[in-house]
Amino acid sequence: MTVSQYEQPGSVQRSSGSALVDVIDTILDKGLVIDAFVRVSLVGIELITIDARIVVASVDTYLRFAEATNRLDLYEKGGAGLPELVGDIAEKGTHGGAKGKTKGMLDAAKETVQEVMQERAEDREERGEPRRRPPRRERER
Amino acid sequence: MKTQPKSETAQRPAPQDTRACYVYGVIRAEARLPEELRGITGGEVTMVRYGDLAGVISEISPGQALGTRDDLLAHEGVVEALAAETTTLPLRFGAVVTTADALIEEMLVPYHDWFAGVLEDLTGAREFAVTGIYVEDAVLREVIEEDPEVAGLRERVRELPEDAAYYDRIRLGELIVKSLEAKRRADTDELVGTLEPYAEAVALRSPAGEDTAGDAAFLVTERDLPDFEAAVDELGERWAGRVRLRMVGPLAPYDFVPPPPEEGA
Repeated sequence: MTVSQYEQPGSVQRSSGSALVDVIDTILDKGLVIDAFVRVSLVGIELITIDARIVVASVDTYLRFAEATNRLDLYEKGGAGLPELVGDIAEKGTHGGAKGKTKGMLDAAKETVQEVMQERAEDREERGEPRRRPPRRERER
Repeated sequence: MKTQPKSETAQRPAPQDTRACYVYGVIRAEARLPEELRGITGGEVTMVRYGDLAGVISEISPGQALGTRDDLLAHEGVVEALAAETTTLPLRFGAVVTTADALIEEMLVPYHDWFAGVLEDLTGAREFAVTGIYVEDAVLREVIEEDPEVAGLRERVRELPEDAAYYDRIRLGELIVKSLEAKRRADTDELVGTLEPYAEAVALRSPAGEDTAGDAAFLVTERDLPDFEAAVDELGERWAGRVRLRMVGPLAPYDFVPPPPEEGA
């Protein structure tokens, strides 16, 4: 099955807003624009927000997958599901077709999961070393 | 490095270079700042008051580009802390003016009534953004079950080598994207319909990707918050297995700030 199986059914993920990936588009695209009010004393600061969007998106995606693998680990100890998961992803990889951009984030994400899973399989002996928690204040019910 | 004309009334001495004033938002003058608030590049966050209004600012160096992860986190951190404390009109990232006095003279004085009115309208309500993300396998199964053409094409594509099925695969993907669009419309309606009774206002947000089932912001009062949250949970349970629900908030009312007034209004 899919990664979602590892989440509690029906749970709603909550975020206080500190997870930047959740709010980056909001703080860059919404809110009052200072130019609408201040004309004379405006300071034109160079904004590098396009880079920021990309960097933030990837960093937070990495953190999310790091978290996802942590959950997987727990599940694995419970004994079921992992081989099935790998099988499902592998299958999707083959009949999913072209690896073009059009497939969008869903498959990109899948591929990343697959990579992470492979790495995890390789590092399996090293399990038990302390894992860093991603610095996010997110809680689930 | 740009040199700005220095105001006589600049609040703090600027030792090495000219300082500029980063603006986070507008709040009521009577509100209190959360303690130990650090702004962009570590500057101290202060209030600059005019009558019953206050701008929230910190000093920055005008010579540097803004937009690193830390900058964005600092901006969001200040606005979030403000919004937790008091009704806050957030400014978009990157608002910089020469001095605190300029902010008063060009923003708070001429637009005083507009700001006061908007703050009044938004009092007591905070924004919550609720996003539904499809569980890919589950929603694809739905599409296959509901659309015989998709099911047929899928079988065909599975049997053929990748190259031979090229156009079939494109057609298959196209049909799926269309189905997902229809599902997104219906699911967005359900999301809004379920939560709207507990909100003062609703703002639809544009879907971030193909896997978005629905995305909307809700303006919720303190009184309605428990009911709103219960409704979110209820929807999360109803959608369990096919849509993952995410709730972000409380946020400053980014999606509910009205368009700025006409000049001089």
